[in-house]
Amino acid sequence: MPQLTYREAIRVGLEEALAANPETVIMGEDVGAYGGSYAVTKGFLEQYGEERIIDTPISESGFVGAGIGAAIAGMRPIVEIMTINFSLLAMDQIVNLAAKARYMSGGQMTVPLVIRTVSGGGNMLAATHSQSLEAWYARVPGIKVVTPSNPADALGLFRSAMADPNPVMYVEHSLLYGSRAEVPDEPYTVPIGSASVARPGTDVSIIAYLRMTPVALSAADILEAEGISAEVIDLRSLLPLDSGTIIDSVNRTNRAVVVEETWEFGGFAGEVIAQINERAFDSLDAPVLRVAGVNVPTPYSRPLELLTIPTAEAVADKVRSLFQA
Amino acid sequence: MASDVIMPQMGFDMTEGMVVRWLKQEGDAVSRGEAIAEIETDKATVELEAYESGIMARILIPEGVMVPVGQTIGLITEPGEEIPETPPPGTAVDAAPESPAPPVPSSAPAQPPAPPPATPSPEPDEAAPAPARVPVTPVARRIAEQAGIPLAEIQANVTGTGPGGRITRGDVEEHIAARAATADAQPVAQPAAPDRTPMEPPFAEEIGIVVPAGLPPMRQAIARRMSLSKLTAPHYYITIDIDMTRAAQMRREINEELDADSRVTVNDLIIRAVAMALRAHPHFNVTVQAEGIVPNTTTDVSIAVAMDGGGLIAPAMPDVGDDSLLRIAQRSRDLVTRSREGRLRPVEMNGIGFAVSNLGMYQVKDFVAIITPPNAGAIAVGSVLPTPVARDGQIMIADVMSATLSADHRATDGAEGAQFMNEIRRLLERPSLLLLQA
Repeated sequence: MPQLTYREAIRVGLEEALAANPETVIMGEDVGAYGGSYAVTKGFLEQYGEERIIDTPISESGFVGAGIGAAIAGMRPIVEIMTINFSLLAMDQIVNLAAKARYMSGGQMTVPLVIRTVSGGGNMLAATHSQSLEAWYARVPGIKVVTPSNPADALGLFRSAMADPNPVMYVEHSLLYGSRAEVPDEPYTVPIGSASVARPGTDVSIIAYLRMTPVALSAADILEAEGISAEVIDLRSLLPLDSGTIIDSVNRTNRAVVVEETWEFGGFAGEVIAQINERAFDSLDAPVLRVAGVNVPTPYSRPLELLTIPTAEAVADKVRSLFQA
Repeated sequence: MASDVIMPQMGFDMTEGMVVRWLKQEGDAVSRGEAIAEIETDKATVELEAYESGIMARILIPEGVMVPVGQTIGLITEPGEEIPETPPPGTAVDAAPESPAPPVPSSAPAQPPAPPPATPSPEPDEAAPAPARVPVTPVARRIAEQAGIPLAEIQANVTGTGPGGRITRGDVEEHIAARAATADAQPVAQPAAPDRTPMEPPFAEEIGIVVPAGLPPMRQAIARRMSLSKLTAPHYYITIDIDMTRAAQMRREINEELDADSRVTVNDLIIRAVAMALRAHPHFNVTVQAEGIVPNTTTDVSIAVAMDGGGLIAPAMPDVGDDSLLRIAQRSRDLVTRSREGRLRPVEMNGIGFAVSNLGMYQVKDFVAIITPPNAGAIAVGSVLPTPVARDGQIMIADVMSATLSADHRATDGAEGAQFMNEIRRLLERPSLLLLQA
């Protein structure tokens, strides 16, 4: 495979899943006739028919519950929640049923369900449609949360999600769909729970995920010109978290900055920093800092919205502060 | 400000080293962390990195000349800075007093006069009124502690360049370098054996070790260290048989899912088991030193690597205790590759790590390893061999591997060794336990 967009890579994963198993169905709002609100499933209804590409009513609790039931009954469903903001309506199904069924049934039931959804701001969609809630789900034992930042990881993680016997939240970012990069030709997967070194460096570890990974990579470019060699760690999975890769990196660089798109307070960056503190304290040469979203409802106004989301320059600034007396 | 480039100590028993190749010439720009020279120690060739950015102003030691650890071998200045007059290396800068009493260390300027000079390390923070607390970063503290330098000395002499005036790793390393250079120039002025780190063993000659003449450096190092171990560390041995049938089965299943270049080896399973057993039995995760039995802060495992041209080295995998099997496989593969290419990092060559020595590829039933001091033990594993075993009154064939613990009796006893080995057997005979993460 040559260059694919993030959207095309996810499509490849979906088509592989549909081809591999007749028990795989895709269900969600506007996934059929409309082709998906981010056009990921465009043309699928015509190709696979309405038995397998199912437009659902606007009832997240209902169709996520249906997906869980289908999974328990032996199917391999893929549920699309149009954006992660709407997952709030299905939170009881996800947290109390999907995440618990295997545990509470003593292993008699499994929930091999993939929930695709879209996170992030930056689209002028205002306060209720611009949230990044994936870290909320990453607190719940029993589900897995993956957050690909590029086309190759998007396909590799999707394959792993489909192969996993447990519910996986597969979280995409609306501003990444058009990003294009090389995707390996030979069959491969990206294991759930493995972070990657997106760019090696020696002076500081910048830890990011989803759209903050390209932001961190741009920051590393800026810093390189100033003589600071930044290593960028792409978490790729939030739960389970690959803390080994993080700790290994910090042990080498002695400094870390954690980047998160959404609200700083009580966020996932805080968890990463706690783990670094617990396991790499004696490697630190500076406090571990974070760059995160501003603690406000996302403004609709374009200039104001942009002020609430971390930029490469903001990340570079935070890193610079670690090197100044 | 000009800073000296010194011959680093890479490994606890390294006393001298040689610049094989200068990667920078006089006048070249260097940046902090950049490799400026290749240093040959007795075991490997390691790249020396610059602690400071600037201009490679002086090369004081030509390639191929053996110099003691701590010797100034070059000088880095800031661009445009005038090159200071450098005395020839090794010359005393300042004549030391001939007094038999060791001088008061410069580290304690505020110390009350003339305490009895019997102990060379008084506790300055208690003796002196504490100045405003100078923050020192955790890694800087660790580096200072490993070099055996009191924190108070660092705080009194170093200006922090980190955020908020913190003393950073780079600041401490610079101080250590300057201190070593001074110590080298004033050998008479130092109290007894001041520059040996606590890990450093006595010199070979002092205890009568015979290192045959004419050996290449690596063989000399092996001769010295192994003789030292056998002469000073009382070894006891425990051999057990481990049924590897299930471990082999699990490994096959795992490897079916992995690319050729990320596969897990039997040795990786053993490293993981040893790391887990060291956590469960921390009294084996120690170093045995004159100052005491010192617990290690991390779980480090080293692996014996045979070199293509003969000889062997045992580089460490530091802090492997939390690593998954997959990560261990990656790390061990990388470590072996870099060992053979002579690209090991100083932390991998410091000699700390519970050793795993594996002759499994040579159809060996069992053998016994020599402990590398100051570690508390080592494990030698033989081949996995089809072996008749008695089970439920029947004779059957199982894949059996023998493993022999060599342990330092000063740190542990045989019964503890047996429990430690039983833990390794338990983990390898129920290999899914190896997949558990803390």
